[in-house]
Amino acid sequence: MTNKELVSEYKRVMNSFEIPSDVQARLISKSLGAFTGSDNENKYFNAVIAVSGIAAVAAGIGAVKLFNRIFGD
Amino acid sequence: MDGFEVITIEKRKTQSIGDTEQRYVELAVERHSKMLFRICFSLLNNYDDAEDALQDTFIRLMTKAPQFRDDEHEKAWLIRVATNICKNMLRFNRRRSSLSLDEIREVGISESDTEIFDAITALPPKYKIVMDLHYIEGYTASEISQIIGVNADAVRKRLQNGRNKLKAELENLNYDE
Repeated sequence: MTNKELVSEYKRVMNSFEIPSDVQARLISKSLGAFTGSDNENKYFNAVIAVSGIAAVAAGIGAVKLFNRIFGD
Repeated sequence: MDGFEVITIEKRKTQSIGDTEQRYVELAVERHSKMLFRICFSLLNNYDDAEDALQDTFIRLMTKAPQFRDDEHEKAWLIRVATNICKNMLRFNRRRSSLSLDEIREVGISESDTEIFDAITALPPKYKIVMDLHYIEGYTASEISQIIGVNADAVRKRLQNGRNKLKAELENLNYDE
């Protein structure tokens, strides 16, 4: 068997491979379930946003106070 | 993780599944599931394990939500994740299962091709993955090296060794095309 014949046979057999439709259906269902995430993951992300928000407000207040000190009465 | 990224993922996580999300999942499955299932199936030699690996791969796609440059980038990422998941599964389960005729039939392989399919799945995983990516997906050795993280010379060597081993196995079986 030449390399060319071998590769041709390999391609022929592997290209006939199919994914069963029930596997695809379960895959879509599980992937959609993962997409919405769990309650714990939502709580983590909510906490990160809250902390980022507080930090941003604190930085803003600090900037205003600094401005007033430099340019204020 | 910057604020914008977190907010983006947060929005996705708390929204109920809408048409856009459903369509994204369906498109990703349509584009990549056959290729990934074939890779997982041939690496793991087990129908159920292959399905588990495939599902884990897509769950990581949905939960990590990486930003892709283009479709090819997405495909390469999925292949890398799937092969790593399969490698980990093989590490914890070293025994090789034989595929049943039913399992082989379920994935569209005809009975007359069982011998050659068995010989292909009997190859070491490191040969199977490069052969699949090169001969079926059309990647060059250089592209494969980027995907699986070995240098291009090693990829070429694995292709050669894979061909030689498969040829020897088929000659032992007196395989006629």
